[in-house]
Amino acid sequence: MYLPGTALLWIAFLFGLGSTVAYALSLRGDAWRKPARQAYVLMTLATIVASGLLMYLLLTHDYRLFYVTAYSDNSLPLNYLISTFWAGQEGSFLLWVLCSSILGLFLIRFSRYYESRVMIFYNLTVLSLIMLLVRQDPFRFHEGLTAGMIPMDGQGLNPLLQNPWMVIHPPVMFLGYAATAIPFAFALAALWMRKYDEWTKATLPWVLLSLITLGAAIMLGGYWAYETLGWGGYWGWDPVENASLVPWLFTAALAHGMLLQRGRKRFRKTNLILAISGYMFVVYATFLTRSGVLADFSVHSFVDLGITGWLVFNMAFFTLVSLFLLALRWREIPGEEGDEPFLSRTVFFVIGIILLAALGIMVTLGTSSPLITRLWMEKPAQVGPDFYNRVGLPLAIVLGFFIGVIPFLAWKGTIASARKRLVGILAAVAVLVAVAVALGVRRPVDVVYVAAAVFAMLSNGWEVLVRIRRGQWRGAGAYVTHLGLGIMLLAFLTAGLYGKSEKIRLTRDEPTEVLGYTLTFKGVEKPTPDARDAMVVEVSTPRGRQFVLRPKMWVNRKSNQLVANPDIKNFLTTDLYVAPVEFNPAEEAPVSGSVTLTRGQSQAFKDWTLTFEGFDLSRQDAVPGAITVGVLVKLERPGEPPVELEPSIVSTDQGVQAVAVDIPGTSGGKIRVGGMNASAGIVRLELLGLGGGIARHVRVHTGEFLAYRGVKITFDGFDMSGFDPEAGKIDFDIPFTVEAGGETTKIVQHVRGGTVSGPVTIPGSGGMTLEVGRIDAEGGSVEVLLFDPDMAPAPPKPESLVLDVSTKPLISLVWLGTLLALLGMFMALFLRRRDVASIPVGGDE
Amino acid sequence: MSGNRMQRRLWYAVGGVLIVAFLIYGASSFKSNLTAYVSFDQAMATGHKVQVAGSLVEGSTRWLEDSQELAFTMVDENGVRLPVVYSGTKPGNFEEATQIVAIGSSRDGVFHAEQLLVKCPSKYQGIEGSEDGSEA
Repeated sequence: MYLPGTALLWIAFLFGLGSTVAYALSLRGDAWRKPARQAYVLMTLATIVASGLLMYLLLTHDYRLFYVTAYSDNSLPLNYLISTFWAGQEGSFLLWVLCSSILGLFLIRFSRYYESRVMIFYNLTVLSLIMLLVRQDPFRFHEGLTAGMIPMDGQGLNPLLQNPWMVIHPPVMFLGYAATAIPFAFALAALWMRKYDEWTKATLPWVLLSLITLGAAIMLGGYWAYETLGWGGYWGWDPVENASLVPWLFTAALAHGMLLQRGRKRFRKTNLILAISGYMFVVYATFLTRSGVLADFSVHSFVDLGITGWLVFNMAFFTLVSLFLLALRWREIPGEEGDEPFLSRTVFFVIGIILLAALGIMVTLGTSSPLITRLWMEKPAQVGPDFYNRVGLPLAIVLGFFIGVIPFLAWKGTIASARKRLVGILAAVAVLVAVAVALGVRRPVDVVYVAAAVFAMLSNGWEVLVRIRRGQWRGAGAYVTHLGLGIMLLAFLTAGLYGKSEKIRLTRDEPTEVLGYTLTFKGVEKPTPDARDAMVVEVSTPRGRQFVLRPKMWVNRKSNQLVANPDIKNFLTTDLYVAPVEFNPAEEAPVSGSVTLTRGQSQAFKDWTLTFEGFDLSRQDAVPGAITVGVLVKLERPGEPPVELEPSIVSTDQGVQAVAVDIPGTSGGKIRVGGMNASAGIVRLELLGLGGGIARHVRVHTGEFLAYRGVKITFDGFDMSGFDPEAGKIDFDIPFTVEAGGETTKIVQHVRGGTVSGPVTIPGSGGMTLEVGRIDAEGGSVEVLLFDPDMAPAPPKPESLVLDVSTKPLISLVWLGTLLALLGMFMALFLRRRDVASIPVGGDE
Repeated sequence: MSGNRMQRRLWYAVGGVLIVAFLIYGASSFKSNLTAYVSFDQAMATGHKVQVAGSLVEGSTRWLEDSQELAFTMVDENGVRLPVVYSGTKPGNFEEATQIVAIGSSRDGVFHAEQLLVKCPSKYQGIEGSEDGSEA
C-alpha cells in the first residue's frame, strides 16, 4: 500500500482515540483538556494531509493504487479529476471524515462547557468512520502488484458522473452528514450532564447548519438529476435519495421542537430523541446504501462492498449508548405542563413536529420495505414511488395549511390584531385557487393542495414584508423559509403532475409541431474531436421566440456506454425539456448499378456515358488528417453538356470512407467509388438513386420459384456433378430455369473455388439481373437477388432524431423556493448563534 | 380552565382519529404498492405489477417505431426468456448492464415495463451515480 497515506490514517485514528480518552480524563481534571484538544487538532491535520495525498495521487495519475485506477483516467479534465476523490466508497468516506474533523474544530470552539462530553461522543462518531477507512484502505495498491504491472491508464470515471455537479454535490452532502452528528453529540452530552433545557440553546445553531447543508445537498442532487440525466425528473424516491431526506426531516422536526421547548418548555424528551435519531438515521442510511441489502432495488447501491459488518456494529454501538443514557435519565427529565388552547402556536408546533416525524418514518418504512417484507414474504418486495406520493400528499396539505396559519398564532393563542389580515389573505387564496382551477387543476385533492400551498406563500410573504418594513429582518428568517417552502410545494404539484410529454421523431430540416412548439432538427454538431455530439434543434415558440437547444448523445470510449444528456430552456412559467432518445443517421439511396472502368475507358449506363479520366491526388487538405484520393469521371448525356465529377475515397485512422458526389440534373442521383485498384488503374463506380433496385431477395429451395412482374425463376437444385473433394475439385453449379417475355431459358451460376459468379442479365425481362447470395448446400437452398432497373428508387432517408419533449410548469419555482428556504435558514442561524455566547465557557462540569 | 381542558381532550381525540386514519391509509398504500420479485414464468402468469430481474440478451434491443417503445429480451439464470417493452427513456448504460430489473406487468404475452433499473458492474457510483429510466 502507499505507506504514507495509510500511516496517516492510522495516525489520525490514534490521535482521535487519544483525544477521546483525554476528554474523558478531563472530566476529572481540567488539565487534560488542552492535550485533548491538541490531539484532536493533530487528528484533523493527519486527515487533511492524508486527503491531500490522495488528491495528489489522483492528479498525478499514480495507477499503482487500486483506487486511482478504478475511478480516474488520463483523459479527465481537471475538475472531474478532482471529483474522482469522492467517486468511490473509500474516497467518499475520507471526504466525510475530512468534513467531520474540520467541523469538529469549530465545535470545540463553540461548545462552551459542554465541550468535554460533546467531544467524547463526537470523536466516537469520527473514529467510527476512520475505522471503515482502516478496513478499506483508499491507499492500497493492486493485489500482488509488481513493477511491470502498473497500468498505464485508469478505468475512468463513470460518464454519468462526468458533470460539473459531481464536483459540488457530494462535498456538500458529506458536510451535511457530518453536521448531523453534532446535535447527536450534544443530546448525549446533555443527558449525561442533566442539562435538559440549556442544551437547546447551544445546539440550535448547529441544527440549523445541518438543515442548510443537507437541504442544499439534497436539492443540488435533484437539480443534477433534472439537468443531466434525461429522465425528466428531479426526485425518484430512490433509497439513496430517501437516505438523505429522512435525516433532514427529523432535523427539521428537531429545530421546531427546540423552539417549542424554549417557548413553552415542552418536548424535552422528544427533542433528545429527535437529535439522536437524526444521526442514527444517517448511520442507518449508510448501512442501507452500502451494505448490499438493497442491491436489487436501487440503481445507486450495489453489491456488498465489504463493510456491512462494521456498519451494523456502528449502528448497534451508538444505538445502545443512546438508549442507555436515555433510560438512565428518563425519569429525571421534567415533564410538561401547559394549557394552551387549540388555536395556538404550541399546538400547531406539536402537530407539525409529529407530522414531519411521521413523514420521515413513512419514507424510512418505504425505503426499508425489502428488509421488512423479508419477514413475511419469501421474496422481498419494494414499494414504488407511488407510495411516497400518496402518503406525502395529505401530509403536505396539512403542513401547508399549518405553515400558513403560524404567522397568525402566538404561543398561547391567536394574535387578535392579525384577524383582518387573515381575512384578506383568505380572499386572495380563494382568487388564486379559482385561477388555478381555470388553468387546469381539476382533481379536488389537487385544488386543496394548491390552496394550502398558496395560503402558505401569501401568509408568510406578507409577514416577511411586515417585518422588513419594521426593520426586524433578522427575526424574519422562519417566515422567509416558510415562504420558500410554500413555493416549493406548489411547484412540486405543477411540475410533477401538470406537465405534458410527447415523443416525436424529427426528420432533418423538417419543422415539426410538438406541444405547441415548432422544432426543427438541424443535424449533429461536434465542434472539437473531444466534444460530445450535440444534436442541434431549433425551436420556435407560439409567441415567436426562437432559440436553439442542444441535447447530447455520446459514447464514452472507455466503457462504450451511450449517454444521453437533455437540454432545457427555462421560461418564467415553465421549462421546455428535451431529451434525446434515438438517432438514426442518414441512409444513402440504393445502388442502381455499377460500372468498372480502366483509365480512359467509357461505358454506358442507362442513357449516360461514363468515362474514367484518372486519379486526382492534389486535394490532400480536403479533410484534415486524412488521405484523399479523387476519381475524375466525365458524364455525358445526350442533349446536355458533359459534366466532370470527382467522387473520392478518404482514408483516416478510423477506416476508409467513400464520399459520394451528386449527379447534377437528377434528384437524388449520386456517384460513388465502389472500389479501386490504383496500380492497375481500374476503378469501380457505383451509381446511386437513379432508379432500379433489388426487387426481390428471397431464399429458394430446390424446385421452388419466385415470380415477379412476368418473370419466373425456378431453382433446379445444386448440380454437384463436378464436385469431388478427394480429387481436389470443389466446384459446383447452381442452375435456374427462367421464364421471361414468353421464352424459357436456363441460367447457370457457377461456384468456382468458393467464389460465385456475378449477376447475369435475364433475357427478355427488360434488363433485370439475377444474382446469387448465400448458399446453404446442406439445406438445399440458395438466396436469390433479383435486380429490376425500372423499379422506382427508394428515396434516401435523411437523418432523424427521436426526442422526448416535455413541459415542466413552474419548475423554476422549485429552485427559487429552495433558495428562499436556504436564505431564511441562514437568517435564523445568524440570529441564533448569538445565544451560544450566553452559555458559560468553563466550570460547572 | 376545565372548558379548555375539555376542548383540549376533544382536539386530542380528533387528532388521534386523524393519525390512526392516516396510519391505516399509509399501511394500505404500502401493501398495494408492494411490487414483489418474481420469476419470469410467474410474471407472465399474473397481470399484477411485479419486479423481474435478469440480464439483457445481446442484440435483442430494438426500437419499435409505431409504438415508440424500446423492445428487448431478458434472460434469467435458468435461461428462461422474457420479451419486454418499455416506453420511458432508455437508461444510460443499458447495453452494458450486468443486470436489469424491470418493474411492470405482463399483458398479451409481453412484459410492459414501467420502470427499468440498470445495475452496473461493481463500481460504487457515488451519491447520484446513475439514473433509473422511469416515467414521471
